[in-house]
Amino acid sequence: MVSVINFDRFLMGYTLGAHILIVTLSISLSVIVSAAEFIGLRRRDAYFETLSRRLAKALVIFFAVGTASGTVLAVELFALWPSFMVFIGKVDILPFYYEVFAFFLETISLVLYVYYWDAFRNRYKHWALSLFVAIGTVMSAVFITMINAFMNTPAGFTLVNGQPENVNPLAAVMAPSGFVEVSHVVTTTLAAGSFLLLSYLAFSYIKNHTQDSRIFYKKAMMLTSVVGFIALLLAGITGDSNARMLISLQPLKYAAIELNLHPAVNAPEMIGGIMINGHPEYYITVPGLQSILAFLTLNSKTAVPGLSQFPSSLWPPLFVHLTFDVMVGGGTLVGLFALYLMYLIVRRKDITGRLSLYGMLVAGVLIEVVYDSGWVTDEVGRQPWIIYNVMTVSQAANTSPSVIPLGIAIIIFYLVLVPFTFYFAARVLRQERIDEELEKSRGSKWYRSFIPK
Amino acid sequence: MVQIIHPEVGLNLAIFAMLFAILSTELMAASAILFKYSESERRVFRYLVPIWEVTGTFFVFYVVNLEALIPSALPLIAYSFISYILLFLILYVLRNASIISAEYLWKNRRINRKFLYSMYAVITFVLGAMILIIYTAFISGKGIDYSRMTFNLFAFAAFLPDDGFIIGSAILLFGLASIFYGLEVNRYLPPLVVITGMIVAGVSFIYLGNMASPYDLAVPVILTVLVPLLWLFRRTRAIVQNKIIFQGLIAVSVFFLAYSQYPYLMGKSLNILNLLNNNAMQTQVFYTTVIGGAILLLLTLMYFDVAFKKEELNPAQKSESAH
Repeated sequence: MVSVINFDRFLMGYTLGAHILIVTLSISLSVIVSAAEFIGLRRRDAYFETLSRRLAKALVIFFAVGTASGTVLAVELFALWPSFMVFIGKVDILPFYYEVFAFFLETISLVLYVYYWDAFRNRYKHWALSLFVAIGTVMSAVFITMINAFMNTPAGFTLVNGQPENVNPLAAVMAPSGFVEVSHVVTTTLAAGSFLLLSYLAFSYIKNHTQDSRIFYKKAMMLTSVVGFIALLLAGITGDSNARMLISLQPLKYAAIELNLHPAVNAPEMIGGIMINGHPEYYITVPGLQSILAFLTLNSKTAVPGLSQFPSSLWPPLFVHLTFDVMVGGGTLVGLFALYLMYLIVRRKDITGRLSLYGMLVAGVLIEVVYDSGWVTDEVGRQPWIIYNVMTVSQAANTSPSVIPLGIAIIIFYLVLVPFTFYFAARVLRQERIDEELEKSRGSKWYRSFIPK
Repeated sequence: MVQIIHPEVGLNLAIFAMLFAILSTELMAASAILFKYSESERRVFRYLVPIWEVTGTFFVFYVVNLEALIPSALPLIAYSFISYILLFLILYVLRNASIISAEYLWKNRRINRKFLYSMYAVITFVLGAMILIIYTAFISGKGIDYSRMTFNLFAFAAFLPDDGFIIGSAILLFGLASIFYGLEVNRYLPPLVVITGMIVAGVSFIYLGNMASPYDLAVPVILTVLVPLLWLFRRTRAIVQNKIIFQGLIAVSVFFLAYSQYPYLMGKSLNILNLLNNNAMQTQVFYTTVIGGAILLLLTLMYFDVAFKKEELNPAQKSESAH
């Protein structure tokens, strides 16, 4: 029989997973729309102008559903984990509060950006609104991740009989893992959304055969590839810092994701592997690689942490090693593909070959698996704690059985909502033909002002 | 007797008042959509379409501020209202999905815009009712078992002032809708409906939570009567049809209405000042609210500058951009 605590856990993870799918697109769209409009203005290019107009519609849809599902999560936090939120309320509520104002910046700028597009005489002022939208969207992600950083590395209080004393809210905001974690989350989210969008663009390119639409989608794919590549490159760098940071701040999580049974010097990197009767099986090792990556030197005398240093009752589920491998392996594959796309773009070669297009289709799906695996590694890797070394998940949970029936309704509801949102956004993007939209852009006051009289 | 309000609680009441002011425009829009759809297309959607996204943001603003103000009250809310909260969440997502679908419907679709807007309107009514139920329950305390952290809807509904306040508020907003959106109705109907709603809601409110003094209701009563009175006369009608002034009046009324119960909740059995967060957090939240509020004010000014000025310059463009 599923306990209410496990149900709470599943419901939270499930809604987070669904929310993530929508949010990756909101964040990447906000950046790409802004970049597309800027290029359109600088180059007087109607294709980029049309691209920004089209994607802005999708941005509004993902924003509308994303903010609603974000609110669901915010309320679920205090409904499912009341004791956790009491603690957060006393120590680290500020990032949530900061996020509200980022949210306002995003909302109000987006409303003005989308609904009053043609009302601006100076188009650069309109473009500036897209910057506000992107800043608001990205900052929302930054502040929410700060809460997660606090959960991983709590700071800014003293624990007395389970209660926080001597609270320093600003120290809690600046949790030790904050900077590294935030930089990794922002870059991976942007990368995930960009590659997901890229797969949609590649699919649309394959399906459309008119000259205008082919030029349109090709330009869109080039821009999105560049954004995705930069984000993924930064994600790789920050991901590496993140893993190394765990050695000092969350050694148990590090030992679990690397599946190190014992601390070791010159530790090998284990790829794959599941625990059977207390021993890992089905894996390959690369000698010494883990220590090299951990300490960035060939002959480190420091040992990497091992699970045996901690009581087994505090170990997280060890499948996090596999989700970690999926994240690193899948991320590397998408990264190599992104590098190939960059090579084509820099050498001015065609990016619409079969390998590129079908690669984009696969990369869009793979990157979401990578992204979700990363979050599973982070969250499951902290178990049994909801706040590391402070409060367990069981202590935080709402144990009222009335959670279950409506929780099931939420699960079913999301099963319909997420596919509907993607279908609806795709349908809205196809609402008008590319050539019609291009004509509109070319007929706009902005475009006509460039034509000499 | 006038009490000096704790600054943090004062800010929370101000945020609640602003949230209610902006939410009320949606509730009024919902009644206009259901009862006068064709007129709504001309008069309501122009205002509703850009603003509905901001309502959600204000809602989050209020919830987070409340969490920061009285974190130890969260388990009471979470356990007592868990079913309502989860149902509220489903409806909230459905509300967003229905209005965004109505906004961006494609050609040759099988579903029509009116259906989606009507669905939005019905859901908005239900959401408004749920918010009012929770708010009213916390004032009267009826239906809430504080020690067991449960809520009984029947016990709540059995207390007449609870029902009266919710029904009166609904009647009041229904009457105000014609004024706010300038709908074509009999001239004397809105004042009649507004004053009826005000009397029902006001009398219920007096018996609801054992307020310190009924005179605290003077401000909301005067402002509520003032709105339909100004609307009756052609010369003063423009004043209340100004959206900013109207919402300002609603916000001020709601603030004083909420203040009239200060510092108690649940029929004087719970003193909110005993539940306040630690001093360090209160200080930080206060500064954040002030700085964030200044940013929000700038954003609001930017919104009104762009939305109203540009619309005057070229009113046709807005709907073209949106569809």
